[in-house]
Amino acid sequence: MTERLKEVDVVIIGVGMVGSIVGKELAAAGYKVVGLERGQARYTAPDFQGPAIHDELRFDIRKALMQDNTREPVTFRNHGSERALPIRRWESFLPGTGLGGSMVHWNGQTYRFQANDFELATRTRQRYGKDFLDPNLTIQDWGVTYDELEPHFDRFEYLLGTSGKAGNIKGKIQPGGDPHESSRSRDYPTPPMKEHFQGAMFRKAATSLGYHPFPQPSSNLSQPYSNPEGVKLNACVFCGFCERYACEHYAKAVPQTVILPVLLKNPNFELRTGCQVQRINLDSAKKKATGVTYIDAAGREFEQPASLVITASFALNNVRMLLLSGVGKPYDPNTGKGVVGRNYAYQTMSSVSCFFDEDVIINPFMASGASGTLINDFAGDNFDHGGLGFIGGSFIGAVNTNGRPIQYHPVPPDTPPWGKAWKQAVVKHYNHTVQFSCHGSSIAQRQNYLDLDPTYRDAWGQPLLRMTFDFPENDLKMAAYVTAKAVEIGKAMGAKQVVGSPRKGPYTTQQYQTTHNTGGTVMGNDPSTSVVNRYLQSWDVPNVFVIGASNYPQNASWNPTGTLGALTYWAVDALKNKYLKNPGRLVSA
Amino acid sequence: MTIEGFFSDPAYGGNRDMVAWRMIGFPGAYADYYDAIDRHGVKFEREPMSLAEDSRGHLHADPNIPAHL
Repeated sequence: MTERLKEVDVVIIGVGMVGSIVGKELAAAGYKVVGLERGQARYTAPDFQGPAIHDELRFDIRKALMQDNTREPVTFRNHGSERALPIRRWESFLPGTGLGGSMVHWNGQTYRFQANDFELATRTRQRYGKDFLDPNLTIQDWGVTYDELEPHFDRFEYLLGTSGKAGNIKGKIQPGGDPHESSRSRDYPTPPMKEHFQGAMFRKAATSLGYHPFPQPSSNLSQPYSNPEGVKLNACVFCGFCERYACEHYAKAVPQTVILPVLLKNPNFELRTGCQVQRINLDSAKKKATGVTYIDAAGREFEQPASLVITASFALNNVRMLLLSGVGKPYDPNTGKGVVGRNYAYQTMSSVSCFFDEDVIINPFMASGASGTLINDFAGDNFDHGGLGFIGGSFIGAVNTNGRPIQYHPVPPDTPPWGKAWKQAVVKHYNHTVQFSCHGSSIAQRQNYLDLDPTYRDAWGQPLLRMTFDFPENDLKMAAYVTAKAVEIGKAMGAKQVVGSPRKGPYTTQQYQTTHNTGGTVMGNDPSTSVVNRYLQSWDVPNVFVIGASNYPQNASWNPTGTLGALTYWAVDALKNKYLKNPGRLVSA
Repeated sequence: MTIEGFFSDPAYGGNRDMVAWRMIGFPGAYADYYDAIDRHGVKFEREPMSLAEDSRGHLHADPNIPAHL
């Protein structure tokens, strides 16, 4: 028995950062908005407080803040010929759940993608010729440019209070910042964080090799800050429990610390937690959404009618919601036709371990989620790819975030995996090792995609999302090239032993890499290769907007959240100033 | 699994007297290194801290719960 509720103007699926921003803006503009969150309500006090929050076993290993994969896992396979199986223990990526979404357990690493990334297909062909790319790679332009997004990047960074040093203000290169970044209208709202020892060592070595190190842009703040919404944040104290944890100090910019206090006071907004949306409901012609159907924590089913539906959940869940609802045509990798689930991409992560003598004391446990130092000299298209046989790149950085010992106990590769010799090696190297991350781009290719699993279902009886993914050859070549450059930096640092670990295939879900899953509801200007138009509006059902990293046609060399924040404000602008004034298609198909 | 038992907080029953943490120099559940972060290369000499201790100086209501395991 489904209870039909009173119609509202807007229903938002997922109340994370995207849902909070959209909800706040539309409620403030006078629209009645309902936010449906499948997880629980949670706040810095009392839910994120110490010392209980500093529990590695509970949060790192048992994944206390993550999507419940006993009820709602994702199935995975490397190739279309294999049978996918459910991921019952998250390792490779960690989708969150609950109010504030995955951002609650993020590290605060807040980058902008570069102008080149948004026009990747066009610019790659211009620079390297139209035959440079493997035809199996399905890269494409975003349909929006960096210049169009710049004001929205700015707005998002000032919402978060991001700590950093600009490298390029209005075309003028700034000393101490990243000279490769695309032009920004002004500096970051707060100065960079204090630099940890690893960062300082990396800075010196990278400079000696002629590279351009700069402080990691961090939304764990370097100083107290009041954002334009009137919400106050504290300075980060480098506790070393950032990613996979919620911040007890009000120092990490997450919905709870930057926008929810404003949103939840607005009587036009209603938050409902414990609500599992089953599908977006469509009219009989499947051209218009009529609302959503959800099941609450007590198992009761409701229909929430709405004039406008916004999916604002984690990238993978946005894709699944469209597939479950029949919004857009599912992608078929055999024919290349269809769009929903197409161009799933990830991140190509490599690393380098630099082992020092015992007189070099690193203290890896003192860290924020984003207080490192890095270079963009081998990121994106900042170096000449002619003759290299791949596109894309990685930032290279000493971006150490913690020394939590269950996860972090680096040992040289010839160490036995257990016993006395292993223990001795852990003791010898724990406090005397520097690790670099090579944070690599991920190119879309034809056979990597998302669809509904034919066998496995969730706790509500709905098909699970199935992921088919392996690393494209392009990205493995990129990883090998960039990791070799990073090894040279480690040697210039004077480490006794430097071990590069370039990413190798096949992709496994059993080792942590990143939670930067992208694609599946790609944005663009061509309905035959995109799910949403440049304003993130569904081509097929114009009163559905999809906002998430699922909009990325392929993934770039940086953490995706900064770019997602800019896209969110870009879409909000189109909603407020275009769509809601005159509902209909914002771009004709 | 052995590594989890060895390195997790003593509140879970292993890592007695934080022996594994002392061995490698991990200080445990401290919440603040703001003043130490930019003193590069200086060893952190304080006793490690478990979740079962309260970092804010509050006493446990139950006197049978020791401050140190």
